Amino acid sequence: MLHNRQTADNIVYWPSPSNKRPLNAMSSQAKLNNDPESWKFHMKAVGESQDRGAYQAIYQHFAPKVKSFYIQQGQSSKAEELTHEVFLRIWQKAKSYNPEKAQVSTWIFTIVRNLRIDFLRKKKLDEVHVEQETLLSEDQHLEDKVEQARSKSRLLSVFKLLNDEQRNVLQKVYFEDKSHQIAANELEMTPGTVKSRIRSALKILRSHMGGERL
Amino acid sequence: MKYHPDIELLLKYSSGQLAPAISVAIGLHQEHCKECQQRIIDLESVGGDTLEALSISDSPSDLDNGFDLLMADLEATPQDNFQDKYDGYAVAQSDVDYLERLGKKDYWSFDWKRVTRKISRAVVDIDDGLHQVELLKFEPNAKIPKHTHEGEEFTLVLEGDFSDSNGCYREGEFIVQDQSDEHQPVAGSAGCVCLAITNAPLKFTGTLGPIINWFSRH
Repeated sequence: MLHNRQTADNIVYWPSPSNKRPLNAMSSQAKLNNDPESWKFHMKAVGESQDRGAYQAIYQHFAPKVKSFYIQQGQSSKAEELTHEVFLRIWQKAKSYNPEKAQVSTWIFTIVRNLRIDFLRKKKLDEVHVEQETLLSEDQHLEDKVEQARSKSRLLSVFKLLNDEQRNVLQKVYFEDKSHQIAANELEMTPGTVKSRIRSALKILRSHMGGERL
Repeated sequence: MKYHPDIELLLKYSSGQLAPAISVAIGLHQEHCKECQQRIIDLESVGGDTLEALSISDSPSDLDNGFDLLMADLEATPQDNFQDKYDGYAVAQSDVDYLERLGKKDYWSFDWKRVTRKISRAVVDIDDGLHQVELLKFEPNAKIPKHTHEGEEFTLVLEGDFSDSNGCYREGEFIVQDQSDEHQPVAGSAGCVCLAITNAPLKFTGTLGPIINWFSRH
C-alpha cells in the first residue's frame, strides 16, 4: 500500500503487473495518490527500472488530461495519436526526468507542448487546412465536456500575484491557445475586457519579474 | 545581463505559441541568462498546472485500449540513456539544428555574403513564414548604416557587442526595436555577430541607404 506522502525511505513499489489484471486495483491506488510528489516516484521507477506498473499509473492519471489538452487546443482529430506519442516519449525519455527541476505534470506539459509545436510545424509545411470545419461540431461537444470537467487549478508562485480573472485569461489565451473572442465567451466578458485583463496581468508579472526591456 | 525578452514573449515561448524564429532566439538567450531560465521554468509550471487541472470522462475501456496500443509500441521503444540538451527547449525539432550551430558559434556553416567592406550577412533558413532571419557580422568598430524597421526587429547578440545611443548590447542580450527607433549602431572593438529577426526587411536611411538596400536584396 502506498502512503499518501512518500519519501525515499518508505516508498514501496507494487510488483510489475502480469500484463493481465491488477489494473483496477492500480487505478484506484493511483487515485489515492494524486499528490504531485508521488508522481515523482512513479517516474523514477519508470526511468530506473522500467517499471510498467508505475508507467501505467502515470498513463491512467495523465493520458485523459493530455488528450483533453490537445482537444482544447483544437487538435481533436489528432488528440489520440498525439497522446500516444506523448506517452512513448515519456517512456523513452524517462531517465532524463529530473524531480528536482520540475513536477511530473510540468515535465509532461513540456513534452505535450513540443509535440504540438512539431505537429503544427509539419501541418503548416504540408499546407493542410482541411478537416477543421467538418469537425467543428464534434470539437465543440468535446470542449464542452472538458470545460465541465475542469477543476479549479492550483496555481503557482508567479501567478499568485494575479487575481482569478487575470489568471484565467492568461491560462486560456496562452496555455489553452484560445482566441480573445472564445476566451471572452467562456469567461462571460467582452473581448475588450479580455485584452485589458491581459495587459494588467502582464504589467504585474513584468514588474514582479523585473529585468530591463527595449 | 541587461536586455531580456519581455514576459509576454516568455509566456508565448513557454506555452508554445511563439513564432519559430523568435523561439530559437529565446532558446539561445536563456542559455546565457539564469534569470530567464528561471522565469521559463515558472511559466512552464503554470502549463503543468493547466494540464493537471484538466480531466475528461474517458471510459475505462478507452483508457485500457489506449494503454494496450502503447504496450505494443513500447517493445520497439528503448529508453534513452543520455540526456538531450535541447529536449526541454520550446523549439520545433526541425529547428534544433540551428540552435545547435548558433549555440556552438558555428557561423561558418552558413552561406555568407558581403554587404559592405565591414558588414556581412547570411540567411538563416528557418522556415517560419512570418519572419526573415539572418546572421549579421560586423568587423571591429564597424558603423552600421542608419536604418529603421518597418516592423519589429528582434536581435540576439551572439558574440561581441555593439552600441547605439540607447546603450551597449553584449553577448546573449535580446533586443526588440520597432519603426520608431531609427538608430545607427556601432560594433564593439572585437566586432559583433548578431542574429536578426525582422518581419519586414531593414531599411537603410543614410546617404548610402538606397545602394545598401539594393545590395541586401541581391
